[in-house]
Amino acid sequence: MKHFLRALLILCALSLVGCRQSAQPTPTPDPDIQLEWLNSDKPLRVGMDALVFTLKNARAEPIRGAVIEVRGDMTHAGMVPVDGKAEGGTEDGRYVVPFEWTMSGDWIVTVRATLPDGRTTQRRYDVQVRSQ
Amino acid sequence: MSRAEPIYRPPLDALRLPLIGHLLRARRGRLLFQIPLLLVSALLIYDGFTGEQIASRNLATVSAWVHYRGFVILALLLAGNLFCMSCPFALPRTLAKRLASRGRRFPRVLRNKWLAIGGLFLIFWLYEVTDMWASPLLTAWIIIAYFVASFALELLFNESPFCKYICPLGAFNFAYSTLSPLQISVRDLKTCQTCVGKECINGSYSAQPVILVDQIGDKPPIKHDSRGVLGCGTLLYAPQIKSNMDCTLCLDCARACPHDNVILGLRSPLRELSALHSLPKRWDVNFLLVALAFMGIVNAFGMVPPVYALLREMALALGTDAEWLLLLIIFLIGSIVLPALLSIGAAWLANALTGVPKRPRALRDTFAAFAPAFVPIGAGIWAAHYGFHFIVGALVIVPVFHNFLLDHGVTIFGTEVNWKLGALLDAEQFAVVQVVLLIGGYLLSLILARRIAVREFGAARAQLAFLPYALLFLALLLASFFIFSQPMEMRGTTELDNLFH
Repeated sequence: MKHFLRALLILCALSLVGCRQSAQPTPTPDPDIQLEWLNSDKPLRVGMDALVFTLKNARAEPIRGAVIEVRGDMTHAGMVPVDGKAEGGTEDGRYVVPFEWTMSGDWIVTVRATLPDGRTTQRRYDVQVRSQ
Repeated sequence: MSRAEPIYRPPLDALRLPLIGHLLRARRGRLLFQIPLLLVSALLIYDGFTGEQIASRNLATVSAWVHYRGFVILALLLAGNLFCMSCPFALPRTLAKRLASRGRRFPRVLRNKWLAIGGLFLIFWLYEVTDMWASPLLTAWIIIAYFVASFALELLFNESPFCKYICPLGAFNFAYSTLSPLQISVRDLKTCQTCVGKECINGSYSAQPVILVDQIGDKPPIKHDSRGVLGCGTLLYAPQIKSNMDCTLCLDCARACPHDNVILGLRSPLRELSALHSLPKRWDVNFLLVALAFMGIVNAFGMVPPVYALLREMALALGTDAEWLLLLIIFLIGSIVLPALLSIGAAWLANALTGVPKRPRALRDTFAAFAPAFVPIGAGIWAAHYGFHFIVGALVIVPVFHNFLLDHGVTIFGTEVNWKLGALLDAEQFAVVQVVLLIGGYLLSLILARRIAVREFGAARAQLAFLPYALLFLALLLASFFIFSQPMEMRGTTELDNLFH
């Protein structure tokens, strides 16, 4: 019985490893979609901000009607993530995402774009936010 | 008072409390605490390896760097060394102890706290250099390393060298459990004096008893449980215990005692730290207490903006961009050199001001006498720091665990993760608690130092001996205020990368 229970435990542990599935699978970047964060090089400060992204196709033509979702995670565990979203975009393919930097320090910004035809792309930026 | 006489007459024995007392003394009582933590450890390792490599979304980093540290300091201050009691790393240790036949004693030269101090220094330095807090994978490897080290050392040696001499977590817990309100003691000293087997330390089936006893006694022979019980892993003899230092609160002594004479007594938290001979007059043990208070400041300093300015200045002055080296210098000076110089300097000054006649080891004796006074201020600094992380991130575990379940197709709690759960208190509100913790620790340190000064130097000269320590504690308090009043940054690695690359 003991051996059976041990074997069962090991099997459960092994099967757990095998059954993991990502809730938000990282999409393979689509080479036909160019996603850029325009103002990523400006100094970031704690407080409300507007993140500007552009979305273009392989011929550098703006893409409209997409959804841009931004997720900000701090590198230190225990901090509440921040989300932002923009839909539709402007004529020139710009998307402005209202976003609040809630604390100074290092952030991992994950940007995911979903096009009207269902194609997606994702980019990650490591940035630092300073106090006011 | 003879050296064997217990120093406490506790009004309460936690082992006699209804239900919890029975649970604690039960043969498998410790397992009830260890197995849940073992399962949690397995979960953290698993998620650390397979989960999303973002610290704030992974069980390994959230549990280890937010919850574990918060609970540990809270438990130490409110009860005792509950983490060592529930330590999952001790489970393979127990297995190793049963597998090992007649292991050797740990080398005599290493039977002290220097390795533990080195281990603490190493882990705090590595924590900064490798950005350990940001890496679920690395956190998982650290947990595995603890299991392996604990098992291997127990297999090789016949005591528990990992717990007693090496484990950095244990060293931290030992040091601050000297402030805890619970301590192992005995009910009746005479019972221990006539006890033949000394099972509390030997165990009832030990292959290699530490205290050899004769077989003659005036009491009927004790009939042990045929399955046997381990004795104290860190070789503490219950009737002589005057300190929580080295006590893992495993309660094996209470289980092994055939006379039911071991108690877990309630005491005044300052009793041990102000009593004479509670701790040995050894450089290593006492330096651990001093160094940990300084390490608390250095650890928090790594999270505030002035550290970048210092690194920049150091990089220019030394002409190197080796981050590991610059951090090593900061940590060496802040965690080892400064505490050594300042605490030994304060002891020298106390002796000089009070005109202590020259005698061998006068400096060490004064250093050792005042070292316990560093415990409350150190505990205040650590509680202010770890408490902050815990308070602002305590509820994050809920969405992180929910997300983990969804990753595995478990949808009983719904499919929408509430990532907005986080703080128990606003960071600004907790700042008030931080001030209370820092000032509280500082005042208790002052009270202790004053008591020690009166005890060691007499009422007439106490003020002069107290003065250097009062100034040193004030400096520690001001340094803490400076650091905790800075905007806390989570966590500045990008700044360092920009600085050096």
